[in-house]
Amino acid sequence: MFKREFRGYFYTPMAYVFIGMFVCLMAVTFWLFLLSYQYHTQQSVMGQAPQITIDRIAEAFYSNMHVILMIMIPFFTMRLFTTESSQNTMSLLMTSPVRVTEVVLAKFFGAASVVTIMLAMTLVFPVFLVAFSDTSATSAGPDMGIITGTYLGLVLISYTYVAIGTFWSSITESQLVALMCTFVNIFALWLLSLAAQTVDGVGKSVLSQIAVNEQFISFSKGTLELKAFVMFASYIVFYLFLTNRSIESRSWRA
Amino acid sequence: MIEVNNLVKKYGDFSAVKGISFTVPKGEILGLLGPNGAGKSTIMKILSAFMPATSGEVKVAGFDVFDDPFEVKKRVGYLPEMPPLYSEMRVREFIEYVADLKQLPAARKQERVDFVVDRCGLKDVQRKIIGTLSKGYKQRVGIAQALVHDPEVVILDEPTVGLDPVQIVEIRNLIKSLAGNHTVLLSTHILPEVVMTCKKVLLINKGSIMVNDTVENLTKGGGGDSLEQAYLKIVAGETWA
Repeated sequence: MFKREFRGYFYTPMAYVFIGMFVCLMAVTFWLFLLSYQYHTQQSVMGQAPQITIDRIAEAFYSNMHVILMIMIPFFTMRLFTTESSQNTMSLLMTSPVRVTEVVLAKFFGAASVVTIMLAMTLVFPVFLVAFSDTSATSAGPDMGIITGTYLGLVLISYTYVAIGTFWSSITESQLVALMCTFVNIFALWLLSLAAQTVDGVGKSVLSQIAVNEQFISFSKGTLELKAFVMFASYIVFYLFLTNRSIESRSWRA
Repeated sequence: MIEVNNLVKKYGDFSAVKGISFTVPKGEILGLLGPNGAGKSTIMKILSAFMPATSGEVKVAGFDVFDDPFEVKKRVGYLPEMPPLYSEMRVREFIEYVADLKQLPAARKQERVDFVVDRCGLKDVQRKIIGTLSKGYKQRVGIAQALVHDPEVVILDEPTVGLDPVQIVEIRNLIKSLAGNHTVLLSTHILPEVVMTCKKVLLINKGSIMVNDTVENLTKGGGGDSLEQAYLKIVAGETWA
């Protein structure tokens, strides 16, 4: 079933368009960031601005990529269960000897692997940074620890968004509704980190723990914390569990 | 093969099926006849373990649909009113996928897929993408997916809808040829179809059984007409009263 899900993306031009669009967008962004790096370096040589490191540029680049993922993943997941309902293939799955959990996991991992491919393609950018940096002190290449941490963070946060999208697509038969709900949900999680900055005390620490954005930032600083892993995993499990429930409840409500 | 005992299904306050009991012995074809909204599709959904009943006992192929839904699902082929098709897949690929879903042993897969593709007249289109097929062909793919795993029980919800007259004859012959090895439950509101394919008829209206008899008995008087008369009397009496 996972195989069908995964291959399903490549029957239509959709996956190609998505991956292509994403990589192009990232390439342009990458180029712009490099230009700005060059500009800053020139400024600092002339003594008009402090020198910035390539790591700082990489961090900004990847937080940009995160925002683009936030926007693209909902489009990607909106059709997961909605098309099963509209093509009535849900009834085929429900009358086959498979568990609802298997269906949910197949869908989730199908979408997640395509997103992984998307992310893997952007690995070419850090490769460039390493290949074209000279080892002299002035323009050293990026810190590989930070790059690794960032990619791990990106993968985890993308999977979290995929899980959220999976859930909303199981709630409704309309792709548009699924899309909007996923957007709102992801945006709400993102807002948590803003909220964390406005309150103090216990509220602040609780909010910043559950804000996906905060956890992602900690990854992109190169610090891999167990609690961040646990938090992402909990989000994914939580949303997939809800998906499972919502699919199961369909046959009872029918 | 199919045992239904005092089956009740309620949608909220509305009772779609009101305490129905019937049995279908192995190898027989039972026609489920009734006007729209009589509860035919509901009964079929419950028998295929798609939807739980409100109360009552249902056994299919020797297994209780509530206690052993997995065992039932392996042994039932179900074609819903709207055939479940992945429009982006190719015909043969889809049928092979269903065979895997229904856990048909790999050794028998190619043989069974070849068989249903041949019997359902899909040979010429097996490489085509389902979404590009006409309605009649889609319906045939739907029938093929219900038969591919050689199920003991076949449940077909209005299988001849959308087919042209030649195809209808072909599909009816196909269904008739299933008798003996498979137990078939067929729903329809086309009266001659029942006469031609089924041995027994279950006429239901508003969730209750009105007639449960053999086609032979029902048509004893004046051929196909008396079934039509019986049907009209029961259904019209209820609806227009």
